Amino acid sequence: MSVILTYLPHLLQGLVVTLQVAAGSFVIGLLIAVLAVFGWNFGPRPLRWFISAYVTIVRGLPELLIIFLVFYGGTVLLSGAFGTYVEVNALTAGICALSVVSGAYLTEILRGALLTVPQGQWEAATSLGLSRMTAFRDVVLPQMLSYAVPGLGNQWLVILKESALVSIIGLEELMRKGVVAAGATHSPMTFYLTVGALYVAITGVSTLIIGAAERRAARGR
Amino acid sequence: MKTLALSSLLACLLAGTAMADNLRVGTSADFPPWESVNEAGDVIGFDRDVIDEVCKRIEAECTVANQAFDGLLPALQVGKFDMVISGMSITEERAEQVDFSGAYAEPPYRFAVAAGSDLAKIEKREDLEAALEGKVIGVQTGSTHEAVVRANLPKSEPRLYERNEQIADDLNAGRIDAGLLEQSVWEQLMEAREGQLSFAGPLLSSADYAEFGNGTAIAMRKGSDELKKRVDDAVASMLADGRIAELSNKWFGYDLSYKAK
Repeated sequence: MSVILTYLPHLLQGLVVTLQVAAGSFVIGLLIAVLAVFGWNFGPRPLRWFISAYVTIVRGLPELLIIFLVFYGGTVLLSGAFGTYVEVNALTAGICALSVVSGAYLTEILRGALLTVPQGQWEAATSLGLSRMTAFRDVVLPQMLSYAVPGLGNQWLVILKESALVSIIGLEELMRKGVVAAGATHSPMTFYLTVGALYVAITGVSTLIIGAAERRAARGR
Repeated sequence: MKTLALSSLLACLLAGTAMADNLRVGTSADFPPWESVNEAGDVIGFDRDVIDEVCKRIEAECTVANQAFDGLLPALQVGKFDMVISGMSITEERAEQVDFSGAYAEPPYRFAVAAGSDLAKIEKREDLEAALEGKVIGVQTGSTHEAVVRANLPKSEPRLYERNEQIADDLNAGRIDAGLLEQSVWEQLMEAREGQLSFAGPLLSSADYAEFGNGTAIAMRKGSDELKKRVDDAVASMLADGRIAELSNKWFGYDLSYKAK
């Protein structure tokens, strides 16, 4: 028990990093996804090809590979461009890499939700004289997001656990802190169970929030 | 204006050269006594003391960063680190990607089995090899031990594990018959699992199985010849004056400094 207490501050630091990475890449991924869905509906054909290629390729690659590509590939590109080694902050790199991943999945979630919004909503909005753009922003987008809440919540939980992969590029998140503490104390089970309990705790709180959001989104439907 | 721009550019360049002796070192601090993180969050261990002494002797300021083992060599190659020290054995595969300093340590290896196993009574290497025919041997993925089992015990089945404590626990659970790891690692594992495991056979080195590699060394990016020369000199002087042996005794309780062959 006392070993847990001595290393608990380390685990909590790791927990903060895990939350930063997960929240950062969820928000940026959601922005990517909204833009992608927007581009899908209003963009020229080449843009639609590009979005479709992005979603297909990223969903087809292991997350670990994308993290390596974004971090090491990014470092090599930047260093090449500036002619000297450019330090890429590990947190930024981790968030960027997971944003690319989550953006692709969230795009699919939003596209699915968009199909659920009845065609009549578009027709009603445009018949009132709204442009297609305004109709999307003010009428369709809010409904699309409300249909997407269960899918978004699910993706949040997935990202939360995918964040454990970014330790490979030097971020000390919860899982890595657990491995380090297990190594230092030779009590792996103690620390893996503690780390597991912390993950379940965040997931539990998240589920409550997602449930509340779902009820709110369903109001008036 | 032009002079100002030029002089500030020059100042940057000069600052750049003055910084050249700030070296970044990568290690995966989850492998005591080689390296681990203490309660204060500092990286400690044999490698930490070795690299501190190397940096002192080459008159460089070093900062040590902790990162997962699998990411160390890629990070070295893209320039995130200047050196990697992480109980890393020199192998041909790794030497294709990075340059190694001269070896500073050569840890002994050993087989271990569940306590009470008949294999624990065997003393000679040849007898143990024969007894292990058809048995399952636990080794760590991508380690030199895996290569040793594949090359020298073709009739045994290697089973790959991510981490060494999983090997110890599966030995105890009876899922595997033997495990091959570094002596120091076994000692730590046995301490935490009182009476569950026993050694089998003698201490092993690259003299027994060449696949154990050519000792443990500091990795550097290909082409950093000037740094490599200074590090090589520092390591050689530390081996010559017994500093490595001293640090080894402090952390392991015995001398695993590299002996030239």
